[in-house]
Amino acid sequence: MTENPTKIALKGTAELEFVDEVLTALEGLFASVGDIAEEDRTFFSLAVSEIATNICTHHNMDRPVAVSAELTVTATALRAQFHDDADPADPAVIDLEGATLPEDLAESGRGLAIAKMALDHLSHEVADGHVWTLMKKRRQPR
Amino acid sequence: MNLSVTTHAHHAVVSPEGRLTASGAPRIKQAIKKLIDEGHARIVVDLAQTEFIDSSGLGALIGGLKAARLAEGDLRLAAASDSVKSVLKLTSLDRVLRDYPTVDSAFSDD
Repeated sequence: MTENPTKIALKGTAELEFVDEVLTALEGLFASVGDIAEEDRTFFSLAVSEIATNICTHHNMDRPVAVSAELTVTATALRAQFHDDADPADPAVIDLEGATLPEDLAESGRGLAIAKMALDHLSHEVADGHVWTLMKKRRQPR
Repeated sequence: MNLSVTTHAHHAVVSPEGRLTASGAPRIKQAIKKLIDEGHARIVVDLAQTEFIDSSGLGALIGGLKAARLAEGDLRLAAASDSVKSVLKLTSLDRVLRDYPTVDSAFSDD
């Protein structure tokens, strides 16, 4: 018997099409696992979209940036890890600690703050490129 | 994301279908700008077929709201799913982007 997959890995180039590919893969993973609360799906997808978009729009490299994503569902958590090969200093500053929502009528600048609010854990490390780790604890079924 | 636009006597309706994210945000901004340039500043964004929104989509709606108000109109949301409503609430943007149950009710009070 084949078990439903609980992990999906993707590779691509850091362009907006990759964000759509990751969101489609995540939808497929959720459908395959089946019993994930809607709020968990929504907020985790939101955080994944924000971080993937950040990776794909905030680099200034004059060569294509390779990016990989690993999406995992366990009994207790939803996890994602992104790894890109942009230079460690590009983007120069990622202020995860200081990311807060801007004023209501701002048209941009919400991404990292939203990802932090939607997750239980978000970290960014510079290690041979950039590594983003996302985790949301699953609500227990009532 | 697919996008359709319809104009009516007293308002215009913009209907994004699918995910409203960075790849679709420029198109909805452009569609709203075109409507306002053509004199349709009372705009309903019908979210009945919008399954997901992120900060890029929200930014496009905020941009549209500001442009509509500058033209003495308004931009209102209609028929948002529970998922989209939860994102509006998380970001506190439910205070500025008002969601109405149906497209027809969005401008029925004025």
